[in-house]
Amino acid sequence: MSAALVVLGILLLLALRVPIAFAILGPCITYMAVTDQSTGLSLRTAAQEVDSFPLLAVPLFILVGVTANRTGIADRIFAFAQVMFGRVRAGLGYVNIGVSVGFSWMSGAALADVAGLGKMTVPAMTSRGYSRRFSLGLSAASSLIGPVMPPSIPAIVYASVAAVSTAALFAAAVVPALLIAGGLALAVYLWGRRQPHLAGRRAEPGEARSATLRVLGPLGAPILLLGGILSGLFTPTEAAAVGAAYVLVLGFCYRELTPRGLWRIVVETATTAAAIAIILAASGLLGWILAREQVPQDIASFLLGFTDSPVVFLLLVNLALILIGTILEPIAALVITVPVLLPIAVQFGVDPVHFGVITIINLMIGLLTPPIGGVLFVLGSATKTPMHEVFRGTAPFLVPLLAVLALLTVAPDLVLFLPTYLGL
Amino acid sequence: NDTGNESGGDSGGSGEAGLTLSFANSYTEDHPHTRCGIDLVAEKVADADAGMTVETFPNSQLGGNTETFASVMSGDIDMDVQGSAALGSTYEPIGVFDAAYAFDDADHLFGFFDSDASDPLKDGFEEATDTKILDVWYFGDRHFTANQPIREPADLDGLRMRFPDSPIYLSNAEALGADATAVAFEEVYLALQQGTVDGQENPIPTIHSDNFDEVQSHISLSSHQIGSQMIVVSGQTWDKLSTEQQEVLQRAVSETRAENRACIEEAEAEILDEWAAEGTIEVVDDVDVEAFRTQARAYFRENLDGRSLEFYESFQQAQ
Amino acid sequence: MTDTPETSGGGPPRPRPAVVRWLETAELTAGAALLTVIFALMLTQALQRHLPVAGWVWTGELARLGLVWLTFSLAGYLLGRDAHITLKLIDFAPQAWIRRTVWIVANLVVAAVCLAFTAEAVELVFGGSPQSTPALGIPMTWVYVIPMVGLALAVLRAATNALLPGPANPETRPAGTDAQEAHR
Ligand code: NA
Ligand code: NA
Repeated sequence: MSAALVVLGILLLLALRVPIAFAILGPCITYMAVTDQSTGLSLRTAAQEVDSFPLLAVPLFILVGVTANRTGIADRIFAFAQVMFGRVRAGLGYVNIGVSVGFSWMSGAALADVAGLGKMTVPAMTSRGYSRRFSLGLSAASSLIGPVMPPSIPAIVYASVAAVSTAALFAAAVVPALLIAGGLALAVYLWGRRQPHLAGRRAEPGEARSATLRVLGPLGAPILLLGGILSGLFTPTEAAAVGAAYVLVLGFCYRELTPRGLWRIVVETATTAAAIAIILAASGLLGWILAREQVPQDIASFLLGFTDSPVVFLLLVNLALILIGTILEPIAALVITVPVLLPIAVQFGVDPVHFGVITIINLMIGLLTPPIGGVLFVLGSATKTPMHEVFRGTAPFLVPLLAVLALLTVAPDLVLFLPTYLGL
Repeated sequence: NDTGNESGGDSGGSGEAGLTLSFANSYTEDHPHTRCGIDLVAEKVADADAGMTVETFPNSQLGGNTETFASVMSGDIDMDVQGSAALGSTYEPIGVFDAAYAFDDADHLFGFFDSDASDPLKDGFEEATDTKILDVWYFGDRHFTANQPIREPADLDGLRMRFPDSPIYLSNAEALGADATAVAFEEVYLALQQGTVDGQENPIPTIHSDNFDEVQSHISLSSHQIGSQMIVVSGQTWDKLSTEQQEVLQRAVSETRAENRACIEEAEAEILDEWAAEGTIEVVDDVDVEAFRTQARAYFRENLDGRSLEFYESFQQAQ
Repeated sequence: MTDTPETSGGGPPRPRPAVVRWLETAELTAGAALLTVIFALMLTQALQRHLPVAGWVWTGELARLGLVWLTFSLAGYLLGRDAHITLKLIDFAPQAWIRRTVWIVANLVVAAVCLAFTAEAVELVFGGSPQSTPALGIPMTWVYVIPMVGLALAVLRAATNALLPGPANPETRPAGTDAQEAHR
């Protein structure tokens, strides 16, 4: 039984609505039986994938995001962004991006951002005369800032699979995340020039002061996390726990956290983390099979026979990953593709941290495209909009996103400068 | 799962053409244990033309240490390179190979392993795990790094030192007088850089390849542990081989031992030269090894018991 | 905790028998406890280095085991709620019989996979491995008890699912309102 058959089997089961984890496990277990592996090896291999110290940050950063969403922290950031950016033409467009940037420091996943923030920003924009399609598209596109900006669940998974430093990857992603925000802001500016009716509104002085005071607590989270890591108080994985503790304390201080609310937060975090972790475990078994079948070596020799230019290689990777990202869940895609592609990338002289940032952005863009496009689904359901309508709004924003991706592909220094500067 | 019908004796497996053995390790492709280790074994087996080939899986491709050894026991991986401390979580006494100052140097280690004195240890291990130890390879001596020299036990006072989290390493910390603290290997570099911990201990090639020299000012050559790596083969695999194939495999592994050691020592010398030339980290070579050794050996005589103590004492008698 | 605690959305609205509610509560409690353990251990590890106590080096190992257990302990609960991350393209199919057939097939596949994995877990629990974990010395045979129970419950849930009429709210399903999706 070959690796190709395993992959075909997985695709078939995915189409048959088998949950991703089990769609991966089914053909893998069949392979293990056919090749006469002993009973127990499959489960040991799958369990080992999640028996990983860096991955402990996954449930903890989910806890941070869920708590922030459920204790009104998103509203505080929204009010503050309105004070900051609301005064210019098409100001709510910038507010939308600003909220995503602010929230991204506490959230590690795109779908967390878009579910919580989309419900808030889309009605706010449409009620003030912004077209529904534009509001939806911008909310969807800006949700990619969350998983790129640290903390980032995909970055934690990549760092674990690729055995690179989580901190270096976090630092490397800051500039790309800001570039995405900048690219989207430019798109808002160009669009806004033709929308004279969307005048901005200057905030009252009292309003500005109270919004600023109310955002100080949430603002402390990134300062505590980065400061703590950089001053050596704790390691990046431990920082996730410290961050969760901080946000929970904020929730109590804001009187937004009842015992029942706390139980809901814990349950939501545990179920979300378990749903991701079982995909990680399944992908670990598939990775074992691909390694045993020497698939990375085969793909490497094929690619190396085809080109020896790192840029051509990366462009090919971009293409392949965007295609993979349109049908596969990003975490599963990371665990499966990184062990195959990273050794090849290293042979081409690509830095593993640079490669990680590019891989993550690629797979995240897949969240915005049919046929699967998780962000489109979630935003659609959060705002009761058909998915194709969301995509028609999102499509134009793919242009700035792809432009940023291309820029990062050919200019590794944009990615590597910050981790190098910080000595990570 | 080891009572299958395959165990029908040595007649059954003999003369099987095209038998492929998987040989795994957790080291990168350019590490001496790959380059001058499992790769050399594979070459030698191929040259012997005994109807058997070795396929290598470096870099933890088939799993991390705990997992690959479980697979060797179940017969899913044929051969593996394993540290004694890791094997100690299956058969505790073998962990004492990694005890501080258990051996004086690699010759002492090899001498003990080749002597009859090692038989009870090997037999006990093989019985407990249904695997066979073919030989021991040298992994390099472990030394301290910190932002100050560590010349004597008192220099460790007040330093938060990172040690791996298995019992024998923690005993080593205590024996040497160090304050052990937990940091996962993935986070050691950053923890050293940011001062979350003050120092760590590892062999020179590891310190170099993980760039700890960039974030530490001194390496103190304490040689407090003579790193050893056991070459283990699954019992099920071993029983499948013909007598000739067993000899070929045994010879390939044992002949590689000397080349592997030369390769490690060459790599260490190159790294030390590089450090001296570039001044990235100061090499402290006047460590009072005797003070550390006396203290550590007294500690283990006091704190080990049962078979572990017997083995520990038999090391020193083997000199 | 009389009723099944809410996950944020997504749960099928059909009534569940008492035994299912009881099992779901047990699974959720286990998941919540494991998350709390991971959180507490990581916080402890971050703090203890700055306290004048001897180094605890087993915190990381126990937390990692907590993540392994969390991975498998909620598999059945998530199946029962159709809340595993799933490509639900087929739910767009207009023919009810196609959706129904696919639903049955998918759940039988899941049941088979979980059954095979339960068998693996049984082997690991009762196979008598001499291995134990490096820091705490927990026998590896114990490590797989929680996965074994979690996977066995998942077999039951998948098999029960196949008998049920189909995913809850088929019209809104593709929109994936699950909290699980919303936060991944
Ligand atoms: Na983020
Ligand atoms: Na937004």
